[in-house]
Amino acid sequence: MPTLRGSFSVVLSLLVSFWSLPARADGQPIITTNAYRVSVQGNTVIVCLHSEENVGGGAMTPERGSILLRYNRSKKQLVALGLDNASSTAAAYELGLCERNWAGSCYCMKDECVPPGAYRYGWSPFPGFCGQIFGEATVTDSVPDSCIATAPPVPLKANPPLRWDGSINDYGQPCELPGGCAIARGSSAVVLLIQAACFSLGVLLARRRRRS
Amino acid sequence: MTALLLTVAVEVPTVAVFFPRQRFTMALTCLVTTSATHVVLFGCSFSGAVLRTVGLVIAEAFALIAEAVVYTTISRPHDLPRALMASAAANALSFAASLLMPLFV
Repeated sequence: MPTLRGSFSVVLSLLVSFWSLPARADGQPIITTNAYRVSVQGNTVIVCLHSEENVGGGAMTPERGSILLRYNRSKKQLVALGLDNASSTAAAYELGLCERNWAGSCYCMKDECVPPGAYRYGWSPFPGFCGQIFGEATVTDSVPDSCIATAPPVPLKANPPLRWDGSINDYGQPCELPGGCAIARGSSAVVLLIQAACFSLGVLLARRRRRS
Repeated sequence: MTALLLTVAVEVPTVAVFFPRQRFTMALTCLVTTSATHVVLFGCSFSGAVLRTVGLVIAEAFALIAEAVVYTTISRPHDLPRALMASAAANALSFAASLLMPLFV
């Protein structure tokens, strides 16, 4: 039977190790790495949020109230897009942007009548723990006069989100592993503390029983 | 699937070590229980930054307690302290393994 002191020292050393570890918890159900997949078809851009590691099988959709933003870096123009995603996602499957065996792990928006330029697309607030912060698209075709967008974009005066610098995720933590993510270190430490507390409780109960 | 395999590979032998006289029974119990808690936890979807962070703690605590309850029920004689230790150790090791895995893949 492990001793109380022994178990504490093991847990303490684990805590110290993990505190400085660039951690990604593949084994945890709530960790998702997102990737943007973008396709340009003339003046139409389809932007998909693809969940690479959503092993739980549920769709990783942008959080309620989040909006898809389009930012033209050279003109410093930021617009909000609020389009129907169902038809956009269907179109993305047709284009092969989303694999059918990943049904439900892809969430797309279609941006129509986009003028020529280089753009960054990203949902705000950024969905999921970490991953790619934005997707990029370059449109070269000029917009034909006959082009009418289903839902015209709404210009915004605000600056693009700071996290679009590509180094900071939604939690203000750097994504330290390529394509991976850093889970909140505080929460993994709390998990280990709870586990240590339960283990210690078991040791105490066993000792008490042995004495009585 | 990788996550489930990793969890089972770590937790089943750990629990078996804590119950040397009922090694096979408890290993089987652990296999079933861990798979069940794994499916339940992976079926949960957490939305929102804060909920996701808190969700990790709640989910792990739930798995630990649920597994300890099952081990206590199945073990003969019913042994809560040992079940608690086994569940805590198994969950801590699998959690640690999931944190360490990216360093090796």
